[in-house]
Amino acid sequence: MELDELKSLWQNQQLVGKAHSEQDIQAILKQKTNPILKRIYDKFFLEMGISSIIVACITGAYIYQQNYALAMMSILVSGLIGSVYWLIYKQVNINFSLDSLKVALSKMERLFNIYDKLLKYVRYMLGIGFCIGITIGYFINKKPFEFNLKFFVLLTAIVPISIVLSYPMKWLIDYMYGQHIQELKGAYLELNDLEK
Amino acid sequence: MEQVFTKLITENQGIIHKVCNIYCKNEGDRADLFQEIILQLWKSYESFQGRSKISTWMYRIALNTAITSFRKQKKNKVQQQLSIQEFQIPDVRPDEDFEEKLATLYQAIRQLSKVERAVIMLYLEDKSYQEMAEILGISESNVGVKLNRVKKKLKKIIKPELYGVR
Repeated sequence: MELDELKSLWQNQQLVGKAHSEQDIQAILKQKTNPILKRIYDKFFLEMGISSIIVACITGAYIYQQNYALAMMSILVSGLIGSVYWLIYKQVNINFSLDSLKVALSKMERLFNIYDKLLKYVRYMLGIGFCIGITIGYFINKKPFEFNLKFFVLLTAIVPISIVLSYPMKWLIDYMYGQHIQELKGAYLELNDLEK
Repeated sequence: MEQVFTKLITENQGIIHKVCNIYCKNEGDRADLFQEIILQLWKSYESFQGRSKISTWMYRIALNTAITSFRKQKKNKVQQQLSIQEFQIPDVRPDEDFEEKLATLYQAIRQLSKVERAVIMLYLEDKSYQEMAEILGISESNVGVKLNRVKKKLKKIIKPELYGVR
C-alpha cells in the first residue's frame, strides 16, 4: 500500500460511537485541571505575591522607624526582583494560540534551564547573600565588617545544610518530571537539528 | 461566546480525537488530554481572530498541548465522567479490514517520536507545507525534508506483508 492510500485510510476514518455533545464540552469547560505548566505559573505568581507582601511589611517597618535609606533600598531591591520575575515569565509563558510547536518547545526548554540554574544558585545563595549583605552594610554604615563569632558559626552551619538539601530536591524533580523533561528536550533538539 | 465555542468544538472534535489517539495509548490518558486541549482552546478562543484557518488553529493548540503537557503514566483507568466510546478507533464500520489497517496505522504512528507524529498527522490530514510550517514553526523546505524522513520511517515500521508498502 502506498502512502497515499494510508492518507485515504486516515481521512476516511470516522469517529463513531457517542461523540461529545455540546453539553459534554460545556461540562469540560467547568472542570478544573492541574497541568504542570499551570502549577509552575501558579507557583511563580505565588512566590511573587508572598515576596511583595514581605517587602511591603519590611518597608513599612523601616518607614515607621524613619529609616528611609533602608526603606528605599528594600523598594529598589523588590522592584529589581519583580522585574526579573516578569522578564522570566515573558520568556517562558507559552501562548498556545500563537506560538508554533518550535517556539513552545523552546520556551519549555528555557523554563527548565532557568529552574535548573536556580537550583544550582540556591546551593550558594546564602554565601553570596552574606557577601552582598556585608558590602551593602559597609556602604551604608561606612564602617568595616565587625566579626561576630556566633553569627559566623550559624552561617557556616546553614550554608552546608542548604547545599546538602538541594540534592534531594534535584532528585525529587528528576524523579517526578525527569522523563518528561528529557522527552521535551528530545523534541526540541529534533526540530532544531532540522534547521541546522 | 461559550455557545459558539462549544458548537465549533463539537463540529470539529475529530481533530482533537485524532491528536489524542496518536499521543496516548490508554483511555484515561486520552480523556485527560482531550479535556486539557479543550481548556487550552477555550483560553485561546478570545484571542483567535480568524487570522488562520480554524483547523490550523486547532491543530496548533492540540499539538502544542499534547507534546508539552505532562501526564503521569496511568494504567487503564475507567473514565466515568465522560463516555469513552468516542475515543475508540471506529467500531461500527462493517469493513473489518479497514479497521485492522487503521489500527495498524495508529500503532505505527505511535512508534514515531512526538515531533514525527505531528508531521505525519498533518501530512495525512492533507495540510499544505505552508500550514505545516506555520504549525510546527520550521521553514517549508525543512518540512519537506522532515516529511520525507518520516515517510521512510513509517514505511519501515508498517509491516510490508500486511500492507505491501513499497
